[in-house]
Amino acid sequence: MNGGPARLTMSADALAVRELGPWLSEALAPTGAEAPALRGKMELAVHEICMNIVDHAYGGRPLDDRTDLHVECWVHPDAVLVRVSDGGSPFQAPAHRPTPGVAQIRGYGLPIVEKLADEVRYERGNGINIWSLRFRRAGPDRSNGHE
Amino acid sequence: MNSPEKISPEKISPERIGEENSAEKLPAAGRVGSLCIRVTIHEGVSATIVLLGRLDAVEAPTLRQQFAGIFDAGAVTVVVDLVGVTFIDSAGLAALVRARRDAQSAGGDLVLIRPADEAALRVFRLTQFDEVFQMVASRGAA
Repeated sequence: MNGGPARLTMSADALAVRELGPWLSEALAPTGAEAPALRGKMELAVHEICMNIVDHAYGGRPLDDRTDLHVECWVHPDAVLVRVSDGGSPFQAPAHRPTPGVAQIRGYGLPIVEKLADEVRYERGNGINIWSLRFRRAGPDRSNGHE
Repeated sequence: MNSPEKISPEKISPERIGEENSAEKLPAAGRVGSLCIRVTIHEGVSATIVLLGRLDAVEAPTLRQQFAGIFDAGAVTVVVDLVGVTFIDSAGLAALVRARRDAQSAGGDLVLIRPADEAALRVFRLTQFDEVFQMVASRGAA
């Protein structure tokens, strides 16, 4: 990934979030044979982050009152990093988390992200929400219990 | 499930199977991956829904409407064929969980035909819903 990260800018609505998959395929091309597996789990994880932003950071706002979502992807030898930033309302952690294997209807987005990514970090500064995800790349000594 | 399938035209969603190549009828972003839905009611007591494509937050409301129509028609046992689904997110999963709850409340159940695509199966494994739903490998086993 010479010359900086791959970047995607999209409007903060559910339909636009579908751009993630094709974009990730291109961004992950430098990982070679690892790309399909990485894309599979990264698309779901980044999708859930983006939908959380659409639903909560911008929930209820009309489309013309939403700033864009920005997604960046860095491919490093040992990991792939993704950063998602937006200018919506601050993230508020849900009061209750679902119990694995117990049927309930809401609240699965972030637990899914946490199972797919090796690190998930949220920070807010200057009115911007920033989500940072790290996905370790496959390797003989990199088994981590994640998918 | 032994009776011949009767497809109810009024139950078929606008993005019907067989029309997925009619790209000019879909909005530009919809071509990225819409969901095709086919609903078959079997003598009013059971139903089969075949899904093709992407079951995400965009499509989940449409699927919920289809389930509502099925339950309104009196069907309580529903088989959902996910073999042709390529991606499911938490919103799509929620639509299935809600339908399972509604079916069971009415004395029936929801049975899933396992997705062939790993990307679609992933969300069930991560949430352990593969242990909650009755999931089978083929429609014949449902």
